[in-house]
Amino acid sequence: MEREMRTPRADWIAQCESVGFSYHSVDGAYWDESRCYRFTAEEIDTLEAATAELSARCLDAAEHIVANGRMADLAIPPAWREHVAASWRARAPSLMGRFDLAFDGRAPPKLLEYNADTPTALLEASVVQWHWLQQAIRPGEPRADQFNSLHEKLISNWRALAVTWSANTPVHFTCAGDSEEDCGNLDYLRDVATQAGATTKFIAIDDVGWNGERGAFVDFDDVEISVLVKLYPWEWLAADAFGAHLLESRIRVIEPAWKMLLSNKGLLPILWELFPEHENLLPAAFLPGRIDGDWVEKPLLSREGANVTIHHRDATIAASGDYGAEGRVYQACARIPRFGDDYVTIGSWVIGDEPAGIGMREDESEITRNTSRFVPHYFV
Amino acid sequence: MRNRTRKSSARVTLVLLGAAAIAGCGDSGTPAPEHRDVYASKEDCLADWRDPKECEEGPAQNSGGRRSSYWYGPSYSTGHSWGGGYHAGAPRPGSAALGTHSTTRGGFGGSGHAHASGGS
Repeated sequence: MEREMRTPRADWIAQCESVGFSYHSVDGAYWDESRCYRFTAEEIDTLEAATAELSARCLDAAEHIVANGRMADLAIPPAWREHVAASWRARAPSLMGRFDLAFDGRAPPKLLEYNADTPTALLEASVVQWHWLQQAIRPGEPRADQFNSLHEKLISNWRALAVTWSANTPVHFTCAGDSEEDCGNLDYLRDVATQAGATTKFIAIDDVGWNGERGAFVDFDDVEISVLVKLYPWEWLAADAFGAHLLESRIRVIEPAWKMLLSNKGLLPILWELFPEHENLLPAAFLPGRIDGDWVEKPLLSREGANVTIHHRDATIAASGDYGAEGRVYQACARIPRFGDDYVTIGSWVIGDEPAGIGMREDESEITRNTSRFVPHYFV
Repeated sequence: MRNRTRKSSARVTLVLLGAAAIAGCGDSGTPAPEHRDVYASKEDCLADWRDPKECEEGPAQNSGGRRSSYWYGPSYSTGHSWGGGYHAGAPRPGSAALGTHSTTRGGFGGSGHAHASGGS
């Protein structure tokens, strides 16, 4: 695993925008092809195997949480616990998730967290870095490859999902609508769903209607929302005024409610309890003072690094935010690889249950935020 | 590099993104009519709306061991004249409707207003 400094494509902005990636320069610099990461095939095999292993162990953890009544540890509201359990017992279909890993190419990848509910940075991982590979790398290295079959697997999984509801059922896509990045990711999910044959429709989350007499959520045309793909976290849905209606409606939501079990940082100590000393896990606990050495404090429900605090022996690094009211977990501090002044983490995707590709994020801080730069990769 | 299974997509094509073909994120369109009159029977609904296509049977309900269902007329907006000057609210004078039901909006999104993104 090496970092290479490269000259960006002369038309990289036009190339990004031609595939709907309009937020390439949000907060100054987001897409950064002035450098890239080069892996060996064996390193990619290691990442792929670790991702498959972590995906399987997370499903074990979901079963454990439901079977042993551990949802209180995750601060899942009591009114929601049976709904979440029923969703898990029914194995309501899931489309995707992204593991954030620390990996230096030598030691086994370590799980930092699992973005199981509303993972983003998908368009750039699936589409933008694929085009970069064709245009920037393959002319000089025709056999170069990339760990990125996201696009193919998304379409394939959408085809499998679509046969589980009746033909012509519209699939509604929603997010808050005021985040350019969320919109880009959601529009891409609509694109692949359309390619798989689905009829798709966007509705902003604020515009979702509730008709009590029909017992149904409806869109702007008063059409029942039967299948809803959301980039809006489950814990927000549950807390909103319409949240309780989800418990009584027929709506199918992607990601399903059982993903609340895995997108919660309480997953980390439960995984460590179930699989102590696992090579892809870091020690983690629900209580402070249980971790030897440097440690990281994470809210149960934070997003994009908010309110994460790293406690080194001689320094504390804290990210701001307004999360943490539900509780926190404590995790051993991973060694995040550093190249020059930049720390790099790897987002490793599962589509369905299969490993499907990676995206790299660089930041001057050890804490990866939504502003951390996306850097492409290839392997030989 | 020895022969290996390819790990990147063979082709990446888009049908919506990058084109002006979709009403994308942030463009929900125009709100639909929000009211529907409710009837005890199909006949009552037809008495108001005349066209069978305008009357839809609602889901069956169990009450005190008895199974019953309601019928819904078409949707219409507050203050909007429809099918002969009907308006939202309580049953109109002369109407056979039991009442008027509404769709409410704005019950999701509140938690998101405090945050820049729902992604992770």
